[in-house]
Amino acid sequence: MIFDHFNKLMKHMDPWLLGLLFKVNSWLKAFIKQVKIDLTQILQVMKFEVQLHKIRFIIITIISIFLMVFSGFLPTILLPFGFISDSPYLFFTMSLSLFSFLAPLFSCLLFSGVICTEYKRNVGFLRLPVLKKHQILIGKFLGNYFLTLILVAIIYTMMTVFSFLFYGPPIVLTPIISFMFLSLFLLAYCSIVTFLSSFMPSALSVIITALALFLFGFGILQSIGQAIFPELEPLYSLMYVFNIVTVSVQPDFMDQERVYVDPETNYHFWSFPTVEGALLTLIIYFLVSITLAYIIFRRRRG
Amino acid sequence: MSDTILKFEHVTRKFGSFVALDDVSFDIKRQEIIGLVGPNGAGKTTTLKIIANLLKPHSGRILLKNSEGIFQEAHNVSQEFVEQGFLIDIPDFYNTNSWILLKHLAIIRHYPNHNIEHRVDQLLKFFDLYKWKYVKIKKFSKGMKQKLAFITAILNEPELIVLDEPQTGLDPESRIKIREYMKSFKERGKTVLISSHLLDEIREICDKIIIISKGKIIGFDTIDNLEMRFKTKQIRIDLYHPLKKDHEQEVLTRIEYGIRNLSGMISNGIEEETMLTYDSTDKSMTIYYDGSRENKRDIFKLLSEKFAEELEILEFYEPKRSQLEKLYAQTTGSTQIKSKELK
Repeated sequence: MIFDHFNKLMKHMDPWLLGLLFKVNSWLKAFIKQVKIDLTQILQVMKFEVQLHKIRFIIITIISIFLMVFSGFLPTILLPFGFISDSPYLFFTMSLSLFSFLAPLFSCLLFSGVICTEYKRNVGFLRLPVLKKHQILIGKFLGNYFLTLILVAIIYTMMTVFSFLFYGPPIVLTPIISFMFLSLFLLAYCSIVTFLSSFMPSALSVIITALALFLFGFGILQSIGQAIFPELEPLYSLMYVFNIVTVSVQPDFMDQERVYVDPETNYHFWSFPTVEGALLTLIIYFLVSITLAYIIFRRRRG
Repeated sequence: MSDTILKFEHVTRKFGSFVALDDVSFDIKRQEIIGLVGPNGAGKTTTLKIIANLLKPHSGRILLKNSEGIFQEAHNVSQEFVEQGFLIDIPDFYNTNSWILLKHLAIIRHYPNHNIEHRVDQLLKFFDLYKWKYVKIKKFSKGMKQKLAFITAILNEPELIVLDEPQTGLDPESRIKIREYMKSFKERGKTVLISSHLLDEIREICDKIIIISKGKIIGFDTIDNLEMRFKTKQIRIDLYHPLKKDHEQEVLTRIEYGIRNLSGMISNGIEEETMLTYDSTDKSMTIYYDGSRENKRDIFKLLSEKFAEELEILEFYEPKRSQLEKLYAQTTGSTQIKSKELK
């Protein structure tokens, strides 16, 4: 419709300009067509990925629910040794401490084979000539990310339900902010796992490396960084950035003190990042890792 | 016969210092079945991978005719315009069942949605995999996986099918089915490019063969023309009695000398090749020649007139099979087949 309207106007235009506009027009049409093809193919890869990981996802979800209920929610609320949280916010924070370990672990299980399994005995040759590598990468990433988000949503919903059951109304809404931060955190973390998967030989090696990186790597990096530059906020450490997920369930978290400075040693104890800092760090991690993963995947032959 | 759908123009591809393809050029026409033969490492799979756009050539170009009849460079042609089916390096499969996998592959290849189930069922039934439709592929035997891999390549009825060793390791029944399917493909106007070590299969189904060795094309023609060119047509002579041991070598030398003196038999370096083999246990003799009717007649005359005393001929005929092996051995310099034949 819009293009037709332009065509009418162009009859009275300079031929050179007309030619240029026609070129732009056909280029735009081709571009839109390519985007449509890309989206359709990506959607198909996504669907297939979800289908492939259906059973694994169900098992992971059951284990997560079991662990969260019996090691997280119930002990936090019921055990009589000072564990009882006096407010739903504290309950959320404590529950999320456990989930902070589970979420990366389980997302790692889903993402570990994103690229490397395509090269396991040439499985990828079933689709590679037909699909472009960016379609496979985006489709698989989104498929697994979708499953990861469902898992996280289930846990957050359960947390909210438990909080409502034990603490009564009103329903606390701050976990929504925490959920958004965790989603973004997992986007960054999963893109790192995808990056590892782009050059590592097997899913197992990816899982081990990704978990070691999350549990120890970033911690070590933070210690070294703080020893050298004590005043520099350790935004480079995902371990540190993750703290915003647990702290953001508290309504006044933006007013809380983020850093404690030891007056004698001048050592800075950073507790959590600002919203802007966290967003920026996670987006940068995501973009850099996923771009590197794509470049390596594109060049990888076997 | 028909129009060209693929052009391979001066393609060179290296892996480090190893030249896998060295200035290779050929054209493939519609409705042809082309066999790609050559020893391991000759460049067959590299050729197929370049056509499949899985590898890029270092120089030269590959032109594919799209559905609008225009040649475009392979890496620029959208899959929407060129319908191709590939089976390269018999892949493993995703951890799912054949129905889910084939449905997914059909969708991404733009096969009409409403026909997918019918098409998948039809193929699974033809290749005896229907009752395994909902069984995880990891439970399939190697042969079943190979058949499934073949199905994945032909699923969307592509115009051009590129197959790398599709029949290796299959039982005879499955081989026949795949062979029949490929023939039916040709009848429906499709084009097939197939690489294989199974020379009898190649002979059976291919219109033309490309013989490739050390990254270069040595011959590209119909099998008959190549056999004539390289003088690897066979005549087999079954004898009633074996040659007498004390005269055997002398008689064979005389026969070979006689054959070499027939018109047109000494050219293209053929004099370096064995033209005559003799098997005393089998009481048979094989003569390699250029396939011309005149020479066949002259060979017959030579043997029946000049060697009537030495040879008691039972049969004089052209075997259909195994001539390609000689051609292959001669053109690629393969020693394995020669030694087998000379046993």
